[in-house]
Amino acid sequence: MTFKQHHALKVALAFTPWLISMYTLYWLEYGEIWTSETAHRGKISVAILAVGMGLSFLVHSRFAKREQK
Amino acid sequence: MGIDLQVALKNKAINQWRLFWLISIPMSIIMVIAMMGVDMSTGPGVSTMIQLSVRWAVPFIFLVVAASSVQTLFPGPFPMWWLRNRKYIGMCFAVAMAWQGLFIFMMSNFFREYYFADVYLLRDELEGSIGYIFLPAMVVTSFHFGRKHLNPKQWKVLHKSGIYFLWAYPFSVYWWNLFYYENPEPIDYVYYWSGFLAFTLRIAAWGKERQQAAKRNAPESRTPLAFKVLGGTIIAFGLFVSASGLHWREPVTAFLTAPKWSANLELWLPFWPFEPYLSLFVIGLGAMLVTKARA
Repeated sequence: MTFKQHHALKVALAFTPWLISMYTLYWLEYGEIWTSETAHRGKISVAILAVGMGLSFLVHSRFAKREQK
Repeated sequence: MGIDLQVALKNKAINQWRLFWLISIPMSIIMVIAMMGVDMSTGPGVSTMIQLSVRWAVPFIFLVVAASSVQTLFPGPFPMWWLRNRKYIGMCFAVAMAWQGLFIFMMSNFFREYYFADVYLLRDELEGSIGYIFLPAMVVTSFHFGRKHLNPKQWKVLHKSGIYFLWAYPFSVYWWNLFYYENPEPIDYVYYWSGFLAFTLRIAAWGKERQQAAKRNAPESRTPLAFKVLGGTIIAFGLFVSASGLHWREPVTAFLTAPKWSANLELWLPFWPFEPYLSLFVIGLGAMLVTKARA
């Protein structure tokens, strides 16, 4: 695997939790798992996204740390 | 008697926290006055305030995006003042966004029916929420107590991604206002072109730095004429694309979302399929060619 391919793979892996969090919200909405009446919907949405973004940030940091070694 | 700009720009009243208060206090007063002028007991009234707070916020994020580029391209006392106060200009953006956050909170909690019937769209909510997650993280890590928990690389990743995302959202909103919705307002043009200029300056600054780095590493290196001509043509095409969205938006969107997977992505992936940014991508490609050095 070339350096560029390796880098692209790492970027894709780092983005995965964030993408999953957004897809989860899409699935909840279009799968009609929740409706406009669902309690605390807004807070749960933000929490799901924040977890996804936070995990992506941590994965990226981990890769960056390994590159430095 | 002339005024020394360098001295004037070092005046404490227009630097750091005093600059922040100088901007954010009048802005907040205007917001309160505007609130008294609309019917805050209705969804449309709160919606008006959301729009007003966005209009206050957007220029600040564009100024933050352009700050370092202007100093790279046109070094001088004013760009230096601008760059020195970038953090505080960003804080003014955060204040305007806090007002908007308050109005969105009111809308989604007290006018749920109006919100879900007339305002809500999943992708808009995703884009907006992501912006609102970046914003407090960036504000907290702008201070020592927050920054000490991150290493310099993490800080850079957080702030760069946040700034680009917070620029991308309003830029795309105004692009759609101009090239999709009917009857754009004059302010939509001003904000679209300001956002475009802010990012184009970044591309130009990147090109200049790239050229300088090539000169440092190999002083005899030059950009071949063919690259310059081709790059220049591509940049001109990118500028044409940036102004002519009305003519190409519909067929390009149809083409890019023709596969089912792409049409699905459009429902939940922020900004997909990136039509507002195509012109900037083309300009970036042109800048890459224009600044490509060969030994």
